[in-house]
Amino acid sequence: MIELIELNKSFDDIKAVNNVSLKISDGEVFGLVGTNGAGKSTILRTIAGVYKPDSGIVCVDNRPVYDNPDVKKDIFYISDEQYFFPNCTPEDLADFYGTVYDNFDKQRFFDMLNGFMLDKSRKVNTFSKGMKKQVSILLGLCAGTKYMLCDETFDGLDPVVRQGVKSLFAAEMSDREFTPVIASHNLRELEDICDHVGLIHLGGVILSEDVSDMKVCMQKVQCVFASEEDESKALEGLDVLIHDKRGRLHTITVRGEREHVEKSFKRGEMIFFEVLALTLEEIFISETEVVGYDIRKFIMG
Amino acid sequence: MTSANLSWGDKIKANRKSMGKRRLWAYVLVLPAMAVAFVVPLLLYLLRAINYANDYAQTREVLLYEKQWSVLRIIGFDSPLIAVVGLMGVIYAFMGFSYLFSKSKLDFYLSLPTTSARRVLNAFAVALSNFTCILLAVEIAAILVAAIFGALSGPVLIAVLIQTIRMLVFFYACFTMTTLAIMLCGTRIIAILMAAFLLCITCVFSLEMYGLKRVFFVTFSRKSIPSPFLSPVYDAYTGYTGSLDALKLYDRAPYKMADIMSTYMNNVFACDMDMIFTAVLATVAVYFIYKHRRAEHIGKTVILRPVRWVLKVIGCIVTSLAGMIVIYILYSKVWNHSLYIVLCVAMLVICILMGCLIEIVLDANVKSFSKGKSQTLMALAILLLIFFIYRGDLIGYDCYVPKASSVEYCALYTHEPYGYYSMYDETRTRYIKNNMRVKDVEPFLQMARVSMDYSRSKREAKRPSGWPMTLTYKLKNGKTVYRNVTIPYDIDPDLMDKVTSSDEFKKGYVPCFGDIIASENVDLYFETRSEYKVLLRIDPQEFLECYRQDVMENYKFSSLKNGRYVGRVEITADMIDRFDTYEYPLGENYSHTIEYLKKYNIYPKSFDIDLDKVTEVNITNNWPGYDFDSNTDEEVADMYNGIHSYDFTEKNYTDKEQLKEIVSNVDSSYSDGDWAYIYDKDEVQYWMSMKCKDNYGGESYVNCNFLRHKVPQFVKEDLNN
Repeated sequence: MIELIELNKSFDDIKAVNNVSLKISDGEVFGLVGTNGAGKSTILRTIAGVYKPDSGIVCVDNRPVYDNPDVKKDIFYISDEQYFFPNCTPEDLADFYGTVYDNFDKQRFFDMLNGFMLDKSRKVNTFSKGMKKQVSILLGLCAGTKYMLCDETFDGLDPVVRQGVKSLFAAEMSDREFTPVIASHNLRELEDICDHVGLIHLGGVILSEDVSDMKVCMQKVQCVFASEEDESKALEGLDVLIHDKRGRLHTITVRGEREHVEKSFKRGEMIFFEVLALTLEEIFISETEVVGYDIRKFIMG
Repeated sequence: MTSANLSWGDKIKANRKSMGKRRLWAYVLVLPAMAVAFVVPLLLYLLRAINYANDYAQTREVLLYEKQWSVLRIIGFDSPLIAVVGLMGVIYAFMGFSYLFSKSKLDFYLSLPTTSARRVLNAFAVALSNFTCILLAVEIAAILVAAIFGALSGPVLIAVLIQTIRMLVFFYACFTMTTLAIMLCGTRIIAILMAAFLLCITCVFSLEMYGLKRVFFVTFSRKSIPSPFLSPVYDAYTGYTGSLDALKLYDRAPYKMADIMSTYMNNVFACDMDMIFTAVLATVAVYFIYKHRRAEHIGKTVILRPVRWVLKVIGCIVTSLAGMIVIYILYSKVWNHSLYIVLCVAMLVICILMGCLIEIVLDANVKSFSKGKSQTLMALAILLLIFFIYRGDLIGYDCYVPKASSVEYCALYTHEPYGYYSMYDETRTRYIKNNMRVKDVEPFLQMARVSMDYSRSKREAKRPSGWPMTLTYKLKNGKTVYRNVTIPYDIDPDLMDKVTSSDEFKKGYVPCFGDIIASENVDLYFETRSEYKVLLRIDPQEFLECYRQDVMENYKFSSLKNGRYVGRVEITADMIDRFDTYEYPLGENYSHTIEYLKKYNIYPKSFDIDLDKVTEVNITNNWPGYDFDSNTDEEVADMYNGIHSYDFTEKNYTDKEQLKEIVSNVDSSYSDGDWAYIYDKDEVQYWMSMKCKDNYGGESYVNCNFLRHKVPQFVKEDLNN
């Protein structure tokens, strides 16, 4: 388990991570979601042992990670800007990682390269951005580490490859102890792969929940009230996150389970009522809007 | 199969293969570059020596000497290629730690399962092993080339091995100091500047302290060698010049290699120790700084705020002092002491400007020029302190005379280094340096006090009248202290006799005691104002014994100040590959030498200039408008030394009557030489050059002066109206 307790990290006057506490349980795909500059990469780098926390604790299986090679042997980190040795081939990388990670499986790596139609003898610097990411992911999978930290790694992968990687992750998780942590702001990509999502905004955690729970606990309702009195009756006592009104059509995002929300709305008379499915992106927008990150500010100024 | 199944040996092999591949480009680039730098010049030098020997029919001994010297010059301790090695150290440091300037590389390397200490250690090990392999390979190739050409001997090989070790130490020192600079900086450009700063700052600062002494102290001697510490660059430079000194001392003869090496090791021992100490200190600093170095420091100019402060303060001080010294050098020809105010103001202005500039560079932002005022103020305060310490001589530099009990021996250098020798690479200065050891220090120190007081009192004078000399104190603590002084003309003669009449002084000051004229073809020429005679194929020892006897019996201050030289003996020795010339001024009381010259019939019966031989006289008045004739001797001495005239008048005389009057008033003796006081004997305002017919049908020129108060009236009328 990866545990972050009151983690703080600043760069001069800029607070990149503000008192973050998170638990990443073993055996789940953890999605780290956040606005640009929220601190996702900083958190991943801290977990990978690249950054030393200013204060707070980062523990991997109850061991501090910074400058601790024993812990780092369990972590494979794929940075948002991957580095490969000049003029190296996937074969060279396999040789290198073979000396670094005890459980690196070179043969499996070559097989997987074949599966993804990547030439092991071709120079990596001639690969496309997406191909380089594939190489990194395959290296990570074959390193045999317990944790794999992926920073924006899925951005730029084509849908087929993404699906393939998801399958590999699933297979890996079923075969051995494997916990991928994926940071991204492309929520549609994370939605069908992550079991748990941590929402980061301005260096702090807004929420950390299972994706399924998240969707259950937030509802998006479209309705037309008969009168303003009915509107008041329906919304009374509800935790309204977003309330958008166009003409007589109301679009309301409310915190709460579907049954409870439907019951509450029925207190007022409605001409039209429908509960819509919430995407992870909508949950993200709703939650961040609550803490002041309003997309409309960018559009309307 | 996973890596866990691999044996430990297989893992090492795999790692080495991977490392080897990644470092291959370094071998590919550095190895040929080093080979070109070391082996090719050696080959060319050796071929040149052989060609030269063939063309000029050199003996086998001379050829061997030239070949061995070629080896020493390229791979021995006379090798300037140590500079290339230092440059390699800087390049390797940037190669090994360039990942600190790249975020993606940092992410990659810092996330690998290793510790930061192991990572640094690995970079050090790779750089050192790589460069050592390359250097040794190149050295072995060069030694093989030298051996094939028959240019090796035991001592030469030892010299090469010693230099190889010194090169490795220098490489390590430059590598570590550059690594320290990289650790302290977050951008490549600032790291390059920082590396230059760390490698050169103590050297620059030490040279500036040397320059400040030159600016402010009247007794400063250029013989005082700046001795920076923690400066491998200066240490390497001193090692190179130290080798040249040692080689010169022993005439660059490889058969004297044991002596050369011993002298060389003594010359450079302190520098080598400093280089090693600096390297160790930098290694320790790297260790501590790396512990503070974080991935997030990338992009910052200087990662630690205190280092940034120190950098700025030192940068301001060093540039301001340098600026001040440059201004002094520019104005030194027209220097007057009110310009010290200009110096001080310039120094402060430069400091403020540098403060702004450093802030702009460190922030990479023009708007930051006004930041860091406290550091600029600190630099200004330190500069003012330095200025007033030097201006007020608070360190007592200009009155320093050591206690007799702390002095091992003293020496006195004349400022005319070439008087006795026109010999290859030899000077009187070097003779005195190697031979004068005056142990009776009391009279010497007393003379030093008088001279220091006099020099201080004449601070404003450009050239105070007196004998300019350099005092040297070899202290018992191993230090050597030099002071330039002017010994006043009116110094107590008894005191100076005590100083100059000791055997230690004579044997150390008059170079004839060290002359070994090892040639079978030695000729003697005796030159007076009136004649020039030659004695071919002499036995130099016979002459030297007479001359040395005369010096031991007659050389002392009082007789030299008041006596005259009647002529000059010149001995020329054919040394096969060169001619060495030795000059011996002949005092009027040097009876043994005069007897020697008489024995061989080359001592003239008369020293008067033969009017019949004089065809023309050119007289120059170097001080038009002055009349030295009407001044006292002391006034003339002051005027002669103190007034610089850019104007002059001259005239040629051919009229027989005028020539007769001129010749009858000419001083036919020599007035130069040690401790000569000419102002009561010669009229120094006028110089003349006489064109005379010689005994061989040609013409020669004789330079001389009028006797004091004997300038003919027509000369004054012609040249001083």
